[in-house]
Formats: sequence, C-alpha cells, structure tokens
Amino acid sequence: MAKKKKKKTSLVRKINDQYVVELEKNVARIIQQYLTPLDQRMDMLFEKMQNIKANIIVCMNVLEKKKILVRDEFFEEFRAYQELEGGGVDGEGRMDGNVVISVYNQED
Amino acid sequence: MVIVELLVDVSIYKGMKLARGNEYIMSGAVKKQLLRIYPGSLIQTKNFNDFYKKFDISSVKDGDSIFMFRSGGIGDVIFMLPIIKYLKKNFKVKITVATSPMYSCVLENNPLIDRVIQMPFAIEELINNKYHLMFEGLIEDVPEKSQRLNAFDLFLDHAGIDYTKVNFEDKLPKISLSREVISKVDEEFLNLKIDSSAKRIGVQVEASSPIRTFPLHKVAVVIRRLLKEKHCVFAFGGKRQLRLGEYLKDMFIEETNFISLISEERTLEESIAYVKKLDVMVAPDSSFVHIAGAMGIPIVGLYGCFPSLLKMKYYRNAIGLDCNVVCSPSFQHGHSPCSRGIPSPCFSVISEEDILAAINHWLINKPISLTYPKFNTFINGELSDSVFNII
Repeated sequence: MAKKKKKKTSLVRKINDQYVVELEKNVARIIQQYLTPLDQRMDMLFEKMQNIKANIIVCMNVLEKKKILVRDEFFEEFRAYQELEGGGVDGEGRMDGNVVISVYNQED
Repeated sequence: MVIVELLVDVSIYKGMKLARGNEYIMSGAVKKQLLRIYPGSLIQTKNFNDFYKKFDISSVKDGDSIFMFRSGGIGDVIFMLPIIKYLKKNFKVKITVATSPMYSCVLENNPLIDRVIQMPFAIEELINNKYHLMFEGLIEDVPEKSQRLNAFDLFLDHAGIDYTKVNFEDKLPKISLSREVISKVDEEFLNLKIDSSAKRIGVQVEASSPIRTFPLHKVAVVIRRLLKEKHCVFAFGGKRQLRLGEYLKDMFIEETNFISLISEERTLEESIAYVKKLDVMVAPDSSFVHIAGAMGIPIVGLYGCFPSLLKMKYYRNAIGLDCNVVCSPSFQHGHSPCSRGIPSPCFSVISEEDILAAINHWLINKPISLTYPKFNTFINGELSDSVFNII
C-alpha cells in the first residue's frame, strides 16, 4: 500500500524579523546558480512549493541578511522586487500589500 | 493535438456524438478523458503535424479558406474575434472556427464567421481548409509572450498580424446573440418587474479556477451592501456553481432584488443576454469579464495571479483591481488552488470598499483617484497616466 504523503504547508515564515525559508529542490538549484563558488552551502530546508518567484524574492532577502556572496545578476534580475518583503501569509490568510487600480478606456 | 479513429460510437459533453470509423482531431487531454470513460474506444492513427498547415498572413489571398480553433474557455474564444475581424476586413476569405460545444454560442451568431463547428472535429476540416490557426496552449505554453502581451495582442501576433497596427476599435470584441434568446430574456426580464430606478449589477460568484476565485465572504458582503443601496444584483455562474447559487439564494431569500441566474436550465447564451441588461459587471479573472467587455458593459475585474492589464486593456469602461503583493503576478495556470492558501491570500488586499468604490465609479461617476493613491489610466488601450505602473 502506498505510503500517504504528509501534507506540508507554510513555505516562508517571518519570525522576529528572521526569515525561515523552505524551498523545493529545483528552486534551490535556481538560487544556487547565482551563488558564488565560495559559498554554495544552502542553509535551507527543502519542501514542495509552487510559487517560485515569491520565494526567490524572500530567499534573496535571506541571502542578503546572511551576507552570502551572490553574483550581481541575481540582484539585477530581481531588482524590481527588492523592496518587497514580508511575502508570508498570516494565520488568517492575509498578505502584506496593496491594491493597484487601473481604469481602462473610460468614455466621457 | 492528436488524430484518432473511433472504434465505437461515443457521446461526449453536451450530447455531441463521435461516430465509429471516423477520424477526429482532439487534444491529448480529451483523448485521455475519452479513454477513461470509454476504455479501448479509440486508436491514434496519423500525425497531426502532417496535416496542420500553419496560417501565413503574407500569402493569404482572396478566396482562401482559413480554419481556426481553440477549445476554450470563453475568454480565449473571445480573444480570436479581432483576428476574424481583421481577416474579413482585409481579405475575402472563408473562415471556419471550432471550439468546445460549451462555448460555441459565443461564435454562432457572429456575421463574420462563415461556419462554426465543435471540437473535437473531423480530420476533413484540416484537409478541406487551406490554412489552419491553432490557439491551444498559446497562453499557457508561451510564457515569454503571454506574460508580456495583452491576450488580444498575443492572439493577433500568433496569427502573424502586426498588433501594433491594428487600431483600438478593431481590437474590441463583440458577441452577437440569436433573436430567440434575446426575446426570451427580454420577456423574462420584464416579468422580474425590477424597479426602473434600480441599478443592475452582475456578480460572477466564482472563477473557473480556484486560484482566481475571489473570496466568497467578501462577495457576499458586496452583494449585501449593493442590495442595501436598493440596487438589483444578478448572480452569474455556470453548472459548476449550482450549489453556490442555491447557497446565495438562501442567504438573500428575503431580498427581492437579488436574482440568481445560476440554474441547471440556464444556458450560457441566456446568461450573456442578461449581461446586456446590466449597468456594471463585477467578476474575477474569468469568463464574465470578457463577456461584459464584448457586450460593452462597464466592468470591475478582480485580479490576483495575473495582471488585469493582460486581459482588460482593450475593454471600454473597465476597472482592474490588482493585488500588489510579493508574489503577484505569479501567472499560475491550471485548476489548482493557490499554494499559499485557499482562498488565494493575495485577495486579502482587495477590500469590499475597494470593490464598491469601483462599482460606484461607474454607477454615479464618483472619482476614484482620491480613494486610490496608486492607479493607472488607459485611453484607447494606451497607458496615459501612471502613478504606480503595474507593468
């Protein structure tokens, strides 16, 4: 009988200003591409996740905080997202962010 | 796409029948589904690419026959319409369009289309038409373009048409309905005896995918607030929302101004005819945004994992409320819920007040720029002002 997989949930948590990041292996590989050979060690847990981009962003912040050497391209590629932190979801399913409104082709 | 021969007669959705001994073209997903329901009912015969003659705009001549197809959803079917308009405007060509039986009513009364057929279709359709244009997987499988171009431009581009040279008016889709359905809905509508001073607001209660579905508890609050303002609210949905429709009917049982159009008998074409009766349509990133856009009805679109820009840019009088959160836009396709939670947590940033303000913008022309410090405005599909550019 196939072993029932344990359902895992939270991917990124922010506890007392410290990030705990859990990444899927292939996402970690993406991050690793941007790490210098001097520090290829990933101090992270691996867990299934879907939202690669969001977690890369948070991961970038983690790397910055830990002062792990990262190649410039990494920061260049995700520069647009540098200001965005706090991508976690709280217990009530809320996220930090705001609404952007676009008004398309309003007629007089 | 695959070419298969049927070994038995089979019935698929909406009573469509596929006959034994005939060869049909269908997607790999439909083939798998058929084999699940009718094991051993078909065999794969020929190679689709040997028959597919990709449309080439540079060699089209008057008299050519063009066959285009996309199974669905409704939005994707609507995205084909500007191509048809462009081709008919510039060439005397014969156009056949195929789509899933569920969505064919969107095309059937279009005077620019010579013939509408249903998918899966017979192999003869490829043989008998000079050019073919397949749109299956275009949005899902070509992220480098589909995450950058508005869907109408993406479809035009796929047809080899320079979308930058197609004017705004020609990018606006239009759905035509049958006289019978219009008359039926007109009569039904009169019988509802709605106060003529009441504004009519449509609400699509659920998207086709859970990741794009706006939280129901907020939808319910918005409906309640609209009813309190003496507006009339029409709930829209398909067969998958039957239970939800019943739930909402029960919730608003004492409200005569709440009308659920979600029922087993209600056809898509009738629902589209009802959209024409509205003052505003509120919908998540799903079918009724595009139906309202094609019927010229003001829209409030609620967008999470895809930017409204990619879907709504060319609609008239449309407001897109986008969630600006760390993971947006995540461009998550498919029918799975968001990995971060259900309902999609990004929607937590859109409040009921945001939606009501957008509705009131269309109903009473209440300015919204004072309410929203971050906004973009578009004129004729072009960005004219941007305080916070979402692109």
